[in-house]
Amino acid sequence: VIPPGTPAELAEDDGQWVMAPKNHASTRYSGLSEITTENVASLRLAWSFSTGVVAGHEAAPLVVGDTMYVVTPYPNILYALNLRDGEPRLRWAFEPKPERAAQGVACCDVVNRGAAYADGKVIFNTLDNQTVAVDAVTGQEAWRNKLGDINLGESMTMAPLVVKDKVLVGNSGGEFGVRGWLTALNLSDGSIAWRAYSTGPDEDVLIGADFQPFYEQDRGPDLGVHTWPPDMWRIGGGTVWGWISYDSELDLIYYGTSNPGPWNPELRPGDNKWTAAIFARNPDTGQARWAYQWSPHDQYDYDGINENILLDLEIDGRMRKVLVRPERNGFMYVLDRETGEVLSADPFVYTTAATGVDLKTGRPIEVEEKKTGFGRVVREICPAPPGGKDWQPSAWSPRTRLLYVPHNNLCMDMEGTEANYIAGTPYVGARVHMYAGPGGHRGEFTAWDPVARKAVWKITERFPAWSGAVVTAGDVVFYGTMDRWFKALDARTGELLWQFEVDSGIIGQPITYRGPDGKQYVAILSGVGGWSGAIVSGQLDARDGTAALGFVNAMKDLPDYTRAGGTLHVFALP
Amino acid sequence: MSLRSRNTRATVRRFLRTGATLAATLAVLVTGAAACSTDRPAPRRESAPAGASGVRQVPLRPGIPGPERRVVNPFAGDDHALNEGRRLYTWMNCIGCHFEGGGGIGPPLMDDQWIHGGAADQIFDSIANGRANGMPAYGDKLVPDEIWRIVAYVETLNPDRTGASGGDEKTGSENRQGGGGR
Repeated sequence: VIPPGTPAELAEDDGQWVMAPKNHASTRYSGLSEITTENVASLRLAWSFSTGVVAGHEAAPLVVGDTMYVVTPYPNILYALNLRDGEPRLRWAFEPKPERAAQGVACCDVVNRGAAYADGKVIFNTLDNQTVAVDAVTGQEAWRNKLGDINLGESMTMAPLVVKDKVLVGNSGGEFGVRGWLTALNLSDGSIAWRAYSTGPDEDVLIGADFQPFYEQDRGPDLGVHTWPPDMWRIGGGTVWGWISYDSELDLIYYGTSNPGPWNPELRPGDNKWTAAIFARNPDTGQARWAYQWSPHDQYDYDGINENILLDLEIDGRMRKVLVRPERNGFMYVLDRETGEVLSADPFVYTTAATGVDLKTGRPIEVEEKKTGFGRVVREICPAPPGGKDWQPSAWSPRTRLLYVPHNNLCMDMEGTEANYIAGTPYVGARVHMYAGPGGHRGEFTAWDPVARKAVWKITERFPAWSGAVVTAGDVVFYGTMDRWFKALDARTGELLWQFEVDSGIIGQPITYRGPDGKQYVAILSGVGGWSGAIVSGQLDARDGTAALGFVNAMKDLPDYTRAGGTLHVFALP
Repeated sequence: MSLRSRNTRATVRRFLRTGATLAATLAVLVTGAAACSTDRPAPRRESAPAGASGVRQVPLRPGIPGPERRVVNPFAGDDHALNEGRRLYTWMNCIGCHFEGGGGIGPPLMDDQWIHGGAADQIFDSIANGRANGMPAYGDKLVPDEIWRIVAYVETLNPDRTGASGGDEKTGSENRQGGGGR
């Protein structure tokens, strides 16, 4: 049973969950209110399903009508699960059979962040750079298109976003000297409508007459070439592996670009545009409206791909169309999404690499002693490469007016090393050791007020809070932890109301929906892994702190708390 | 034993100097080693098919197995070669996946778990021909003696084998891990 409607229309129906961020504004807010702060303590497991895949499960399940869709990490199996009791749970499984060797170019475990539903099709990306559309009813392939090449180090891990008649997808591989892009496919047949590179000449970046960046430094021809040493933009990163949002009124999409490559900044003097940046583009043509760099000449792998929550907020007495971004560099940005102006940027974690953001230029105010380069170990750089917050998406409640942010508390020591570009192999040039930030805990879950520009409450986690969050009209916020707890908090106070111990650590994205029986359900995938959990999913050796780009140093005790897994858990009231 | 390994080493060097392919080198060496150690006739392996190295990944062999036949690393114990191997390990970006032995994208190299075998010729084979789950094939990028030098370095990554303390002594940062109370 497939309900009619566009993704934007279906996103209004809290019975469905048709795109990973819930809606085009990326709020991850559900109007369902059967589960409340009063009764959540009696939540129980309704059913579960093993994906049969043991790797980091970062995806959000989708719900369309009476079917749930789950895409697994490599080998990227798409399951259609029946939501009606008394019938077989598995309707069908679609196996796209990606190239096995693609696992060798996946920087941070073989993850996938989910699918998107539109026009009777479930659309997702495979690790070996294919976008695949599958008929939501029959499970038959509708179309597929191969968009990248593992021999160039490219892979695909992000969840597509469907905007009007376009499927928006981007590549991964910022640690492989990949040249980043966002590609729009035609929803009907998967053919390419346009592709916007993140580096290179304006013609490739789709910068033209419409381009009106807010800051002076972002104006001028071919900055994606001139802000690099000769030709290094060709292997400079700026991949698009994170989140996309869409404002239908302004008719603009918003998405971020990854860190530049290699990590060692001395190898690439210049601002390295348009890496660690955000673009606003027209979804029909791909033409850029504005762009802004969070971290020009990034020194610390501050990937700029995090979620962009589109809100209308009263700022200094005036309603503004804003974009809220908990950014990897540790600052919570509020941007005017019409113009790209930074309205505020405040640290939400302990930062030593920058003291603030200069609102006149939009540039971070960097700390000289924390600048990295060849042959010197710079200590106590905070945040570490996974940032104040990595990809794990936040949730916004219009009831509490708070943003719920799962994030990290990590610092590092870093040394720049040589980097040799060989297509299809890592291109990093850094030796890193990460460790817990102040307080000794490695994760935090923060409720942030973007108008007052401060945390309202904050709780600590032993490990990085690497799962997404969801918040409901019952004023309950859900998220999971790497040490295997799925938690429900009071959205107003942060009080822990309920928790459930699952089989393996949680790094997935929780969702909530109304089932065919009218009840409210909450679903989450377990299965530890990803960059933070690679020590478990990849069975890495804790004696080498530099392992997994230095993350292993901070996660040596994770195997004591969880083993690998991969299971869908669905909860409901009795 | 010592005579045979010296001979083997000399044979390897001779083949490397003449630029023979790894496959042919190993095929002949394996044949030769077998001929030295058993009375049974050696299988005819003079012309190994392209892409096949003749290196076994598994100890399980149907029938009655003959003696283990291994090709030794001609550079084993050669400190100069080992240092060169360390440089190549970084320069060829082995370090980007395996780091200082703890692994990341690729598996650890400092423990005693070897998916495709941890003998020198098996490591050589993994580097030269790649492995299905993502290990790239470096056979077109490196000549055999460079691969052997990398093998020599890789074999030092296991602290249980070498008595070293692991890869972290350089910065001492390993003492500052997550503080999470246990």
